[in-house]
Amino acid sequence: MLTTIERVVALHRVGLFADVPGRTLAAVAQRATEVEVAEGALVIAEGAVEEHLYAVVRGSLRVHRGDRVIVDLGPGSTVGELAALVPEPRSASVTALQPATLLRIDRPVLEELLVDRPALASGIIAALVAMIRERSGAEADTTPA
Amino acid sequence: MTGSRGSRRGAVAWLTGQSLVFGAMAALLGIVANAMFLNAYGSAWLPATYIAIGAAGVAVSGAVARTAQRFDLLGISLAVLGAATAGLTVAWLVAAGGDAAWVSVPLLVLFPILIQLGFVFIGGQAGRLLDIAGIKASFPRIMAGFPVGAVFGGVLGAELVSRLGRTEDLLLATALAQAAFAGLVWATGRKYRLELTLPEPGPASDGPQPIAEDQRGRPSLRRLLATRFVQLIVAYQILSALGSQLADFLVFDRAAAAYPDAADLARFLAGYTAVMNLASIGFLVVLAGPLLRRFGLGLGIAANPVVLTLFAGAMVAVNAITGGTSLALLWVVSAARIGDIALTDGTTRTSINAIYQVIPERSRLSVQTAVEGIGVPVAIGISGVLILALNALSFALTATIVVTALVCVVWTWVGILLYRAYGPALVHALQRRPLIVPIADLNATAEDEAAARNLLSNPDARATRLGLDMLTAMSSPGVIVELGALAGDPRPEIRLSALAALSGSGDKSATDRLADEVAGLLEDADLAVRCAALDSVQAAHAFAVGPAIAALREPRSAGAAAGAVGRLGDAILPALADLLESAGPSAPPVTMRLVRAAITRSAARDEILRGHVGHPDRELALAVTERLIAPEPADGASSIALDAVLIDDARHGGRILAALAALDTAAGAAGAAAAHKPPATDEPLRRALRDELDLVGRKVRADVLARHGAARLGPVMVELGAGEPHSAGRSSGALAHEALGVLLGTEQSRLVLALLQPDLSIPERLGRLPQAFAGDGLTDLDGWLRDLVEDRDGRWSSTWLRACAIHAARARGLLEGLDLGPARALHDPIIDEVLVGL
Repeated sequence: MLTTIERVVALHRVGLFADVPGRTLAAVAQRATEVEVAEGALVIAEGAVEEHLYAVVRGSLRVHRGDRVIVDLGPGSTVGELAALVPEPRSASVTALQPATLLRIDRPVLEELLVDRPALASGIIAALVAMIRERSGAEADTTPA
Repeated sequence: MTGSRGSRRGAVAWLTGQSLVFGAMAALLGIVANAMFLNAYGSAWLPATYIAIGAAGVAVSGAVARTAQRFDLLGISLAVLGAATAGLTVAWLVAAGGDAAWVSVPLLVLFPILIQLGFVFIGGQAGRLLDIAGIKASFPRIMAGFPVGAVFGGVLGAELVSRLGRTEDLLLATALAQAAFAGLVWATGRKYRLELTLPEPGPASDGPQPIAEDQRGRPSLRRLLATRFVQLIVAYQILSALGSQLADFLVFDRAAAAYPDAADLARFLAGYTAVMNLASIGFLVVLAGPLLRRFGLGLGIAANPVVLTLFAGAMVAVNAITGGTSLALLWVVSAARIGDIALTDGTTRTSINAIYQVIPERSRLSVQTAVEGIGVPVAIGISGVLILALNALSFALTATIVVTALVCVVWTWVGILLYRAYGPALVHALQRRPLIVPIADLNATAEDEAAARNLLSNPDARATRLGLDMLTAMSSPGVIVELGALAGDPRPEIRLSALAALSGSGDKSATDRLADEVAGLLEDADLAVRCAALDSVQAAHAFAVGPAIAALREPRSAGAAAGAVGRLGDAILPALADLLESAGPSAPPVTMRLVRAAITRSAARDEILRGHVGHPDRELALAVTERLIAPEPADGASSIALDAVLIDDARHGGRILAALAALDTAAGAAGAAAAHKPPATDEPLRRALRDELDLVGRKVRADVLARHGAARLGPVMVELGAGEPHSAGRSSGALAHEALGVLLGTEQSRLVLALLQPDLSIPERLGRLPQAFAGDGLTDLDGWLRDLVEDRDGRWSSTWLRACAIHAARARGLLEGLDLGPARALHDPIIDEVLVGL
């Protein structure tokens, strides 16, 4: 089990939260859920309607639609950001490539953060654009939301 | 603008070389012109030449100033210096040809004009090659070349006259020196072609300029000189030249009276000249630069007139006590003139050259030429008229001394006005044009109105509200009828919007109905309806204070609630005061949100807020201080609170920097000793300290903006934050630093710059803070960890920092011996987590 400080350190490695001060991120870390997944475990199922994102602390994940690989993600990555903002059916599945530790951050936590740090919105937009650009290199318009 | 330190040194060397040769040329020209003139016409005609100098100065310098609007600095400098070289050569040829003493008349008249233009060209180049800080630091040294060159020129002139036997032949040496000066300007131009010869860039600021421009974007000379700031420079320079000229006259006048014997007089003048040059060189080389760096342009502008005023007062007293022919009076007027020369070259000229930096570059040379080239000769002309008039009086000496004293007093007063205008001019130079120009009117067409009406029948409530808002904004005829119908709409959001619009049009019954509707819907189960009710809250709805503050707690209604709180104005103040009073070192989010939403300014709100500018929750203190920022400076009570909290914040910044430096030192030592990376357990603390430093920086910025007013300091802070010390064609960063020094004073600006100037390392920031602010005498990491963990006097006041410090100290095995009681007493879950097992 990660301590709050270790969770904050992990979240600071995520581009989305890199500029958020630790004292603020501590509240997010405290409310985040630590998830351990085994190799091959399904983290996100395509079509599921959920309201949270995952930050990868350890291990790696594969974003895919069926057998088609969209992108592989490692520590410091996030997956499912769009769903955390606007709940829609997930557009792709995510499976653990190896045993992984994830932090699940629910929509209300993110909303709380956005209210008090509106500047974070620009960080989220930038992260989403980067994510879309990165993944559109693998397959256009198939980002897991 | 030369960027690197080495390049700056090179530029200073080139300009000092020019100044040296220019000084030699000036001495040679002064000797030959005066000797030829006095030999042919005697001293009685000297005041007449002063008047001619005034007239010629206006004509010649006016032409140069107008030309400066079309050509670059280098081209004009070379043209003028080349023409002067040719003129001196022709004068030598004419004088060498026979009896042509008349040649000395134009030479004597042109002498001070050429001197002023030479200073303009050197100062103009310095303005292009150095920023304000560089000018303050290096211009006195550049100017030191002038008296050194003058001494050399004087010695050379005497030697040449004794060898050649004819004074007129000095004209050839003068022409050669002038050619050498032109050659150095040309060589400097080749070396710094980019800075000196490129077309003038656009205005220094895109905002409204202190200097108006004509339709083609070129400032007309008349407009330039009509600006108050430029007028103050002109007045200052004219009074400076007038004071100097009168002091100079008094020296020669009193020397002639004190030493009737020609040989004695010559001995006195030789000694006086030697002392004057040595004092000037010594002051320029040793004192002027450090004094200007330490005390700024305030000293630079005031020193000369104040010192001369004091000497003028002494002249009045000595003249009254010992009489006009006493040696005591001669010593006083000589000392006054020596001090005047040293200060003119060392502080006045440097300060005025720095002041020109706030004038847009494209206008600068014209202004500088007009001010120096016209203003100074005009002052010499005025002095000629004055001396002639005063000499006609029976008490000429006393009158001249009193007039000199009066001129110095007025000069001092103008200097004060000029310095007061300097700060606003600096801010003006830094202002930028707003990115968005508000559109004053929305001219709706019939099609627009039709489109808006179509939206009213849209089933989507959001579209209906949009149509309603558009029609209201268009003041469409008949909209009242439509609003009346929508006021009965079953959808609460539409009803509220229609009632709000009707209320805004003055419908009393709609106002009453709106209050009832809002009161009923503020606690509706539907979030969208609650938000619509919050959107309709008006200033008179005091009943909405409680629900609005409750809605601030919920992220999805916090935006609408913040708007309602803003409109409720002073009605929220009791709740604001209560929440602020009850907030501890970790204030709840609702307190922060309420402070941020309290945007309606009032004396009562500011009184509550200023009691919390130093709140232990520094995020909350920042929000409180940001709320106090207004265009104008803070009132008396807020100023006291803000000045005090700025000192506290700067001390906190110093503590953070010192703790970070200790972490870096420990990491460096660990890396060097064990060849491994510093412990990862330090990283959360390092990051927490950096975050805290960023917070303190924002707090300091808010402190000074609230204290001194956003209108004055806003542009300066923007430029400072941009961190571009050398932007296109000018040094905005240097201007911002200068503005900060002028507006805040040396001590406060030093604190602010140490914490806010971008791109400084931690040791550099620490080095710039006064010793009392750079930590608390703690230097080693162990000491800082103890301080952070125990936080005995609550200075750190941050549970997160404390948790990270305990985390780092535990990993280093340092917790044993530390008093963990106060940390445990907080019952903070993160701290308890890192203390598990202890």
